[in-house]
Amino acid sequence: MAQKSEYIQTETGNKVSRKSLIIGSQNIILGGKTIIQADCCIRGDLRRLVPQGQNATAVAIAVGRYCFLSKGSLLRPPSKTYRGQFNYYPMKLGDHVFIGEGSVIEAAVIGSYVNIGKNCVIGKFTIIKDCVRIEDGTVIAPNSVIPSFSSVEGHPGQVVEELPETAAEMLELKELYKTV
Amino acid sequence: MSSPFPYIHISCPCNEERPQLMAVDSARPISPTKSPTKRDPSVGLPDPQTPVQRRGLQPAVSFGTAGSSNGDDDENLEDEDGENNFDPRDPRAAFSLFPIENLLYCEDCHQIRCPRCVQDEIVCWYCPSCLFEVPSSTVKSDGNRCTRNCYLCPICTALLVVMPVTHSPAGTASDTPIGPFNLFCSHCHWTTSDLQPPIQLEKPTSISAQLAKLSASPQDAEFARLKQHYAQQLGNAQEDFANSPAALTRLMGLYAGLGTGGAGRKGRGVKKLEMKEIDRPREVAEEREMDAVERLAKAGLDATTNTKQRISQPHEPRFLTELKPVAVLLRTKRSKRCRACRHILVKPESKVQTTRFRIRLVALNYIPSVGIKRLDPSITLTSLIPHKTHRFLLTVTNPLFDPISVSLLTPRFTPGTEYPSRVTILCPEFEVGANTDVWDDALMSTKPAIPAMTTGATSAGTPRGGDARLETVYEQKRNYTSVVIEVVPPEIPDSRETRIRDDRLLEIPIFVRVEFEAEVDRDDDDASGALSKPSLSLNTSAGTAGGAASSASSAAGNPLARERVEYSYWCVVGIGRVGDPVEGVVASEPNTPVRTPVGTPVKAPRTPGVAKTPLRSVRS
Repeated sequence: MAQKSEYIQTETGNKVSRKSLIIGSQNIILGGKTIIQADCCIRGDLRRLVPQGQNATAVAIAVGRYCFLSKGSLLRPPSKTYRGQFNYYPMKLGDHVFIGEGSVIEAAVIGSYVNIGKNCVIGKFTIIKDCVRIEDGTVIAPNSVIPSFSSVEGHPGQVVEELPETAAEMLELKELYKTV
Repeated sequence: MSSPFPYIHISCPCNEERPQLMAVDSARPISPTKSPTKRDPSVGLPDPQTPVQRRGLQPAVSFGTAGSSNGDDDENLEDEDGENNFDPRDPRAAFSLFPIENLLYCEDCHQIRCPRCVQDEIVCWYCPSCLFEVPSSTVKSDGNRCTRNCYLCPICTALLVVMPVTHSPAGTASDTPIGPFNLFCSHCHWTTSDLQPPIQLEKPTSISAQLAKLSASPQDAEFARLKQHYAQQLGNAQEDFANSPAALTRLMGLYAGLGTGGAGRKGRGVKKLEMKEIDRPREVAEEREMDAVERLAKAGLDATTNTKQRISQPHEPRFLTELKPVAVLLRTKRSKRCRACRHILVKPESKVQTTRFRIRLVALNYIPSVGIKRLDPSITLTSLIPHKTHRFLLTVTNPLFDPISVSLLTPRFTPGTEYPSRVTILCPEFEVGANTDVWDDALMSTKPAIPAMTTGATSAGTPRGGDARLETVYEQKRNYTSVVIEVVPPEIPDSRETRIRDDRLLEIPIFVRVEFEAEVDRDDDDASGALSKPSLSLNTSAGTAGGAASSASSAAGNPLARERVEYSYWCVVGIGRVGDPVEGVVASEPNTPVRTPVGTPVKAPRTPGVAKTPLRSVRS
């Protein structure tokens, strides 16, 4: 299949692969110019359950601009049992977030200019701040907080290096969008 | 270097303490500037001041040699190569090679600054877990760990969460969880209840306070006792140790006394602080040791801590059951100063959660950067084929708002190894356009940007015509230009020696020299500092004093005056690794001219004709 027809382009410039699996698309917001490659799975159906009668507009997953979801990655809103009730909580991604092949994301918040490598596992309710690089194969424990300008590696992920001041330029994905 | 291929590292001038350069320095006619005036004795590094002054000299060296060997005399060239080239395998070089992203640029020294030649100053402390700022007074009194509720698992270093020890039965949605609580690691499922004795907390909040009450290991008690003992003795002296000039002189006296044997100095009335040793040193109870041995025999080695776990805890636990949760270490936001001129290069916003900078002079905005990619996608960088001509595309990107002319120089054979690769840059001189916005182009079309560029080219005095040069430029876009570089790796035997020296790693040093005309009246911009608009211009006096090779045009006061500025640096291109020889590719013709896709093959002259520029004559 030619590359052009592999992607469906939306009005705001998102390119979504026909081979990706997007469930509950009414609960998903894509900011624009985001690319979703084949075999990605986005679980918009796992949204917050509200008691009957309350009619909250539930956004399960919000993705910013210029994000890139590589093949086989999975976005899944985090869940926990709070006060005896099991529930899902929304997930928010900033701009210029790259997610490598085969990574599983259950973070609560991911900031802007974040690069997540291949085969990573981002635990439930993780908060990743802006300008962070997560190396291939990292497993980030649930409830972790990754501060800005960190490079994280390991099992569980630990900050191994501080990123330079140019991190935002290094992790920008505008060029990547143009290549697809 | 473990970074994936290809990588490009730029050499910060702070490593250059090379004797041959020093020799050339003294031989140079322009030397009023190079007296080491501002040498700061407190700076232990190779003085970053000197490279500043050498900035203009180094290219002169390279070009001088290149100019003398204009006749393409190979032997001569190799000799010259050996002397002046940057050797990426030099042990000294490794300390100064950084990717351009990690480099800063000092606007006053007009020089790259690497992490080694900047000075860090802490702006604020914060906990990387709860992201709260910790005032520096607290850091001084309570240590550099989070005093809130952030604790790490001593086994796997993941963050611990507070959990009730007994799960409330499902369905009973009680508003407040019932205690007692323990700390639980959601990565390895370690809990504080695993400890001996288990740590269980009454409240889910203010964990530090609760843990402080619980944990009184013999080591902690010992430390507290010692601290109390010596603090008592300090007693009155305590005040002296505060920041007062008297304390300083006394301390200096103490150290001076130590240095000269002390005996002669005592009479001078320097009050030496005599400490009484604690009379009861730490005791090792034999019973406890025997207990430990017994426990080890019973539980086996699996129950003991590893070195990393042991040294991360103050009480050096031997068994896993003695580990304690570790409070999170604080992190800092730091501003960075140039070590030579003390100007601030980086100043982050003091708020913890913002990623903005008030001042951010990064080299990326000032230095034309080099990039490399394969021209032929079939090349595998991790196993380059010996004797085969590999072609790569070398791209120079211009971040400046002035068009630049670039000359690239590379040794014909890669230095520092017994198995040199042949390297040829097909078009070593070219122009790169200014980094203007597409919109700017449209708006500023009235400005004579293009004539300036052409005059720059002609004044550079190129031996060949401008057209001939452009022919071999592979690609030229708004602010970047690509040229072809050819690499012929040699056959390298797979022996122990070559492995130890990593001879198969193919690194090419390239000397990048940039010339451009900049407006002189940018000093106002300089003063305002944090502008993104880069300005390399100097006023005349600063230019000569700083050794920056700028020859200002006639009137420095004239706001429209333009001056030529040149900048140069060595970079190292890590292209890949040489693989095993492939049959069919023979070493017979190492010098085969290869057709470039665009234009005619031009043998890269080792001489970029800039050696004869009027620019140089002006400077000398």
